[in-house]
Amino acid sequence: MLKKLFKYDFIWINKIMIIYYIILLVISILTKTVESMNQTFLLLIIDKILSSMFIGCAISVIITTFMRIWARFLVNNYKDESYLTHTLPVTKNQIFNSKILAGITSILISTLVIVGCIALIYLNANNWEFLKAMFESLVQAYSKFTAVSYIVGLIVLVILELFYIMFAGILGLVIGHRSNNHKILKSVIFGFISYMVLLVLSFVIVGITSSFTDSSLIYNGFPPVSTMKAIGLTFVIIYIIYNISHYLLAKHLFNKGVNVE
Amino acid sequence: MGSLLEIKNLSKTFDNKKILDNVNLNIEKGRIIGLLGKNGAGKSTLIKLINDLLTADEGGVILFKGKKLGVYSKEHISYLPERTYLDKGMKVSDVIKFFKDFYSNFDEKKAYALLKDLNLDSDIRISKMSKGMQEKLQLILVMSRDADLYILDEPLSGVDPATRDYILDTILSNFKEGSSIIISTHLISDIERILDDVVFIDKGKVVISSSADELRTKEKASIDDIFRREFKC
Amino acid sequence: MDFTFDNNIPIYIQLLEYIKIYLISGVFKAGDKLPSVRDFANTFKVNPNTMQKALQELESMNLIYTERTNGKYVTKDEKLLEKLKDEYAITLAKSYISGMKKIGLGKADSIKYLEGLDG
Repeated sequence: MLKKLFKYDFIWINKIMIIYYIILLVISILTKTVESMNQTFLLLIIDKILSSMFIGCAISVIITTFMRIWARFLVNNYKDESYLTHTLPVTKNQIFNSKILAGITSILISTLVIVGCIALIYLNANNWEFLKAMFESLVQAYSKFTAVSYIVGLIVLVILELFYIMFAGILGLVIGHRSNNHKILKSVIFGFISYMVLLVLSFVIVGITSSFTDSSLIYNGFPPVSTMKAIGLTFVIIYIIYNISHYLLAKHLFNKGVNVE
Repeated sequence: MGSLLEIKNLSKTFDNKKILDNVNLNIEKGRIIGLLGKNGAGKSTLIKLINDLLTADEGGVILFKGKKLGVYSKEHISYLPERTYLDKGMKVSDVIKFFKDFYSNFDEKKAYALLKDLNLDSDIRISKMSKGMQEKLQLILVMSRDADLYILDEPLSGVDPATRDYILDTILSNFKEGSSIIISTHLISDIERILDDVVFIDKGKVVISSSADELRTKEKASIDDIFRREFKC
Repeated sequence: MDFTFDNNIPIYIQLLEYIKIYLISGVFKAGDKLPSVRDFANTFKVNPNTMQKALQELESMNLIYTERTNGKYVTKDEKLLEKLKDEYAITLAKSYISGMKKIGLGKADSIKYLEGLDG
């Protein structure tokens, strides 16, 4: 049943996203084409316009992905459609998990599409050299293994942060809809508070971690390996804990039952 | 014989107001039950509780065939809510596929046959359909399931006489033999002739629960008359 | 055909009357198979349970009988149907006479009125 639920959740979220993906891809291809031509003044202007369009579109892909995930959760669980959702022969757990899974996959796809489009536009021989040089300077600062794990860690962190935004919103919706009025306002407030509180908390924790570091160890502007490792690891652990605790709390509250309008 | 649906000490409080006050009720197999009461008497609240759309106050018990509400009860209860609950972006055929995906007791052929009687094109989008048409589609979906209990919340409110006949016909000719139907309504004269049992609800309490014929014989009046007498404004 | 029911009287009793008239008038003849409870209920637009109750009542009056697997049949006893018709006719006649009596007309006058009517 989870599979079937997931199918409908995923399609609902992504039937709008697909349009955004296509637009983003078209802009990327146009940008790439323009950039590969001889740079006349006019083309330069067009290139700038396309670049800013690309950035705008990429940002709206991220925002729309979140909006669609939250909208699906809200409309399907608490609005008119809830009368069907909650009378399907499935458990509340399955309903919840399906939407989280659909959310996670949608975020991953959006991220992948954006990264892919950026690569499509900007990855040419010159850039590749530049990236390599950057890598090498990192490798010089640290051991090779650390440099790679630094990049991987950063990507993991960004994705965990995106998941965390999604969970904060969903927890907000679940808490907001436990009361009888001002449900949406309360959802937004709770979602925002839960996001901000833990964000502040994470900076405090990272601050504490880094305060144990000896500043004399800073080399070439890079903090020492041990500190980078510690901060990175702390962040990753904090985010994983946030995500899991948000997931469990929201699921627990959701499982207690809904009160539809 | 065990009841199909057993409700014990069921209450629901909203903002310190008791919408449902200690309801006790047994629904037997093979009966058509009228859940009768004025608007706001608590009929919909009771129905939503049975369908797991609201959380009951502490201590309330709802048992379907002896089991707590859950996947099993949802598989065997076919519920028609008051509102239109379909995904507006879907086509009629998508909706039928959706029901087939989730309900093993959904009879797709029957649904298409009933749609044909209505001359409803299955390629049409829900958002393009009138509210009345959407309600008819929902009735078809609900009655195309081989359920043990059909719960129909105000299926007749706000419809013209022709539609009312269509709805009653569809219900009577499609429900699974031996199953029970709960119909909530405040328009009693329209349906009282098909009721086996009646349950009167007022201010969140069950005030009368009886066989329709026994009540008629005892009070020497129609259910509609008894209702009007009982709940005079 | 549209069937009207008086909500003050139990529906199964009214159904009973409708079906009795079917039997008397020969819509269903002796030995005929009756429609299934569900189909029958659909024609009258009533609850199948109510129809079942009415048919049970008819069965206890021996006007119909159940063949284990094949459904319900009208009794083969034509005399019984004759008797039913007789009783029904007498009841109607009595009610006519008593109605005439109320407006001050005797039996002889009543018959005269009847003769003035087309069959």
